[in-house]
Amino acid sequence: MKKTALLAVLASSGMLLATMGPAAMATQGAQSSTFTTINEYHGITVGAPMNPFNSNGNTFYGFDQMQLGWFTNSATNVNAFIPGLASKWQILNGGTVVNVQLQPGAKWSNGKPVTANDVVTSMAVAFTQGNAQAFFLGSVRAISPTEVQFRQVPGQHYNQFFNNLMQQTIVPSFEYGPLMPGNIWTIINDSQYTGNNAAQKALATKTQTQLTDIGKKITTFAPANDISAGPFVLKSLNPGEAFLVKNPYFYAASKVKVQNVVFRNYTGNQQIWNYMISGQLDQAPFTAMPTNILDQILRTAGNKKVVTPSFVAAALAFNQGIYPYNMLAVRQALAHIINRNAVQQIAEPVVGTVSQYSDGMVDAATPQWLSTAQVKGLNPYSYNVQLATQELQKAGFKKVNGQWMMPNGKPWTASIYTVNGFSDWIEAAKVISSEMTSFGIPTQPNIVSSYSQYLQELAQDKFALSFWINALGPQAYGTFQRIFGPNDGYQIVGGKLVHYLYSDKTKGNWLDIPQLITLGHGKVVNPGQLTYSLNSMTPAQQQPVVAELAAAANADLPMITLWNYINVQFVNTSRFTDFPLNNVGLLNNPAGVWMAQGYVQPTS
Amino acid sequence: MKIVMIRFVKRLIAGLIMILVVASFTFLLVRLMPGDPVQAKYDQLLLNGLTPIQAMDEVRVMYGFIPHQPLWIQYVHYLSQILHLNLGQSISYEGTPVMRIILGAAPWTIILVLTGTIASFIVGVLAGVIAAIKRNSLAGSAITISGSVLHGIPLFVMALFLAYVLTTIYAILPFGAPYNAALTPGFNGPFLSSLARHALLPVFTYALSSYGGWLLTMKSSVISVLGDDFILASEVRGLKTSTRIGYIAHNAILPLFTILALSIGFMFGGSLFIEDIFDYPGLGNLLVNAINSRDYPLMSGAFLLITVAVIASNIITDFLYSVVDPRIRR
Amino acid sequence: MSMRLPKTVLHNRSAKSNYRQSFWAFAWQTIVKKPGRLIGFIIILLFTFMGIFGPYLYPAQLPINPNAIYAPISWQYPLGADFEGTSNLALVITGARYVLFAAAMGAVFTVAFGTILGLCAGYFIGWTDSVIMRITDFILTIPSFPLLVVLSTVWNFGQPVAMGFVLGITGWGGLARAVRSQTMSLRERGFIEAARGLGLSPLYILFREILPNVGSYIAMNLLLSVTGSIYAEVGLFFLGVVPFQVNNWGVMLNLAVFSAGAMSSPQALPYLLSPMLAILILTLGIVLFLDALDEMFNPRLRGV
Repeated sequence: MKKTALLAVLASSGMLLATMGPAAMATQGAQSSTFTTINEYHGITVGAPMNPFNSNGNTFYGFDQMQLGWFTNSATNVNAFIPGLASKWQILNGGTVVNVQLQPGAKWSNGKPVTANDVVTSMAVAFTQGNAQAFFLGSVRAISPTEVQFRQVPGQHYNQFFNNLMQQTIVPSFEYGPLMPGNIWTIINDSQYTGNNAAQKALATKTQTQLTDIGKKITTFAPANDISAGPFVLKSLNPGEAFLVKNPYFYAASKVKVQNVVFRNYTGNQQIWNYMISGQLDQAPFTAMPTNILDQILRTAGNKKVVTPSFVAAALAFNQGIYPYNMLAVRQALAHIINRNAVQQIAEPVVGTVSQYSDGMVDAATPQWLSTAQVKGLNPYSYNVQLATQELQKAGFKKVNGQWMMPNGKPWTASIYTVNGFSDWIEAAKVISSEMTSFGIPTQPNIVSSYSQYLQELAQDKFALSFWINALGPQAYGTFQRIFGPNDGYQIVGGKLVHYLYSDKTKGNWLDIPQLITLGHGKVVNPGQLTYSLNSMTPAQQQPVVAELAAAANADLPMITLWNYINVQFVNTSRFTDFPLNNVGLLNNPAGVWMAQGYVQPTS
Repeated sequence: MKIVMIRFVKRLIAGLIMILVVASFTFLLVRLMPGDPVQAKYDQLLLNGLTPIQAMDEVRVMYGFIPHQPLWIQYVHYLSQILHLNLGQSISYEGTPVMRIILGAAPWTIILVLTGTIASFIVGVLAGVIAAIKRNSLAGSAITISGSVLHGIPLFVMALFLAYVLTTIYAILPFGAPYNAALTPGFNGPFLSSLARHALLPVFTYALSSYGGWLLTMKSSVISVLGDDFILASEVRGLKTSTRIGYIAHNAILPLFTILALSIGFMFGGSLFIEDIFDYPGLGNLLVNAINSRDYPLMSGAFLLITVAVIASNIITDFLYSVVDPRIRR
Repeated sequence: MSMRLPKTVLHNRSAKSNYRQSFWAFAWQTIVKKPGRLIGFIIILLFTFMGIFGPYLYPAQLPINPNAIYAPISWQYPLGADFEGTSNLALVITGARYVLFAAAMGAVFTVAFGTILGLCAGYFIGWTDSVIMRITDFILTIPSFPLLVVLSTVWNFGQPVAMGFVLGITGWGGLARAVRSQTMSLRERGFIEAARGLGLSPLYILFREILPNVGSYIAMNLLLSVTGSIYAEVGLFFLGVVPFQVNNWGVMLNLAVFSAGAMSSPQALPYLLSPMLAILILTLGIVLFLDALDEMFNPRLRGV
């Protein structure tokens, strides 16, 4: 109480210092009906264009950047969507044909209607960005001004066709159409050729280059004004914040009760924490934080924590090309030495849970894919130093004067690599180093100054033990390709799976997992091929494959999963109420989508 | 005046050569750098929810350019582009020219550095005169000690402390933005006051960090001038105290101009800490972020521009110095 | 400032050994004359000991304790504990070695480059002088901290010597300029002209005749460079642009601000304040001790 009073006095005197003006009093958020948040994906760049295809563009997903629908992040139903610019849809022919009806009355912020033609143009743009090829879009056609039909490339049965097409950004044809040549669809069709005719192949190569060039032109396109079909439209921005106002032409404008939205810039987590502690943010997406910060945030009036499942985990990965981590016994022994409970408690107490099984998935997904018996078959690698000692001794390791000697007679020392700014990883690396050192393996945490340098050196096999994000879901393919994917040498080249050996230093295989893994019951599997095959399967078909991959990840232990992340967001209820707290599918989408659904009301 | 002009032109040529050397240096540096921004971007896209295939395709569109020309051709190309004020495209701010990003950030740093330097110069010099004249009194010693202490504290320690006290414990001052985005930029009251409020904390930190240096230099300069014959003579002749202090100050301040030139370089260096800690969107912040994302073109561009700013302000200071100091005009 | 000084101090080359001996006695007298100087001297000694013996006081891997995360200040944790329950005091003490050793190396390199180049420029004048001075101008003009930040991306600063070397490369400009001007005025003095007349080699003259006469100035700069180097290296670690593996004060600041949220949470504040305190105390010690050095070496103040 005392502090607030003092604060008010000091704040008013501060106000007098700078020339008085009533508008200057209005700090963001204090203004009625201005909703303050941060952009989850990147900070604010003043020089960047208002273009969703630019990776730092000043458009805001779910606010002034729209798509046909919003995914509910379901692990088992890839087709569960909330309507966006599409009001209805039909999935036909086993998922290869999709009909979409647009929202009646959907309009751009300049008053022009959103038409089927806009959707077709947006798909052409998606081809120039390489996105449409990724979900095997064969053709797209306007059936009527408000209805579009999508078809998959003949012969393909990609299981995420609908899921991906619904999430393509829709842009106005009158703005993006002129950026592409008139024969854009001819170029696209020619570039898609996969047959053996030499002339057509040459044409395909040429048109692919053409497409890429158009793509680059589109990513740098800088429109003069923001044109939005979403609930908001960008009005102004400076290096510190972006200011959006309600779009009066939005198809569900009557449902939107928030008048303005401010996005604040940030360069690191600690700024987001500060904004939250001072109660400035009405909603904040997932941010890693220590417990002391969480406590501090929750102490601020109105701040509430909202937890939803997340499909990401952090793991300690082995480079099996580096001695002695090529030995299974070493990897398993380390899993027994590391006390994952202590690691999680120190490194990720707020937004993490201890990982139970190192099976390549988050714990929440494991029971959805595996039967109880299959789950029981997984080795939990519980904390057991004695067992680790036995395993190492069996593998020929000896402990001399409190330090472990490797079978080749050299002392065993280690470095655990992580990245500057990744506070949870750094803290975990320090804890694990302590644990390994006290076990008799002198270990140092080693912090690399940037993520890009980290990834490059990782690929160059400079790190034997390193931190890695795995279990990237919710889809099974995305999850397992973090292990048996490009980092294990499996790449998709021209629609076919290719495996590059560890010895090939340029192809990014640094995990060096054996190409064949023997499972507990004696079956030998090729995890790289199994992972790739997930792409064209229905969930029912995927189930046995996922079970085998989980068993393979658990048996060979290419990485020890340390903790699962949980998606912790924050909302502040002092200026706004009616957040969709019980609607998990909606909560996983940006707050702009909540508002478009009629949630979020200013407190009067 | 002609000698002043010749001196100015000489300095200008030296400055241009220096810029050329720095430009060549950054060119070489960029090609020595470790780190793979392409891979980092791919990973970031994956985390943003793109499927692996989509992410790979998007990265190809973004970075479909890899130069394979000999180094010296790249060098010549680079220099000619600099002459056209083109510093290339940023990697992390995809497709945005480096020049545009840098020019967006430069004004904020210049505002900070300029106001910070001027404020600390005025306050420091005045305090230095007082400290010298009243050097045997309690007030004089107190001022001198304040100078020594503030001069000794590292800039980032001071900035962290002020940020903690003034934005966290007592959230009096805003940070993280140069002004309230809901206001229209221009010459209007609300905007200017918002601008001033947001700049207050970083400018104050700047001023505080360099105040001590000015004070101590001015003090010793005044003391040595006090011993000069002409001051003694003026005292004997019975000139008014205020006139005499004017003489003293004018003569004592001259050596400070040379230090001013050096201090500007220091201030630009300090902007890395201040802007990073207060999250103010200037060149220093940009440089740190560019390094952390291994955005080489942006990094070398920001460094080049900081250097150019320092060289330019050196030349200007030198010019002012030669105008003020009659001995050089001879 | 009092000017009472022992009359035995002579700036005389013939009484060299005598001077040496009495110099240490004189230095000690200068230090103990004011309590502030003595405090400064003790602080510097304390930190030197910390740098040399600190790491031996603790096990190589400091113990962690999940039950003492951000433990408040107590007998067991005199400066509180960090995010994994390690004593902040232990972190400060063990972290001193890298910081101080790198700073000492930085100062040595700064002084070595600055002195040698300044001496050569001032003595040989003409062509050598103008080349060296152009380089000096260049070094002085380039903003040194941004340059360090940029260099950190290509240089591995893992070893304190490497860090010191880079600090030296970027920091010698001011010293070289000052040494040059002193050398220039010295070379016109009688004893140097005499030495040249005797046909002594320039190297001999530079290092045996001129160097001892600018030695006082260099000694002061050595100490100043130590503080400068500490700020620069701790700053680099704080910004997180340098990869790191061992604990040091800059790393502590970085983790406290960017990982532990010490700027927002009072619980983590001791973690931030501990290295800040160490830096401030050391700074204070050096500032206080400089006063003594000033008197020891500055003939004007000594009244000789």
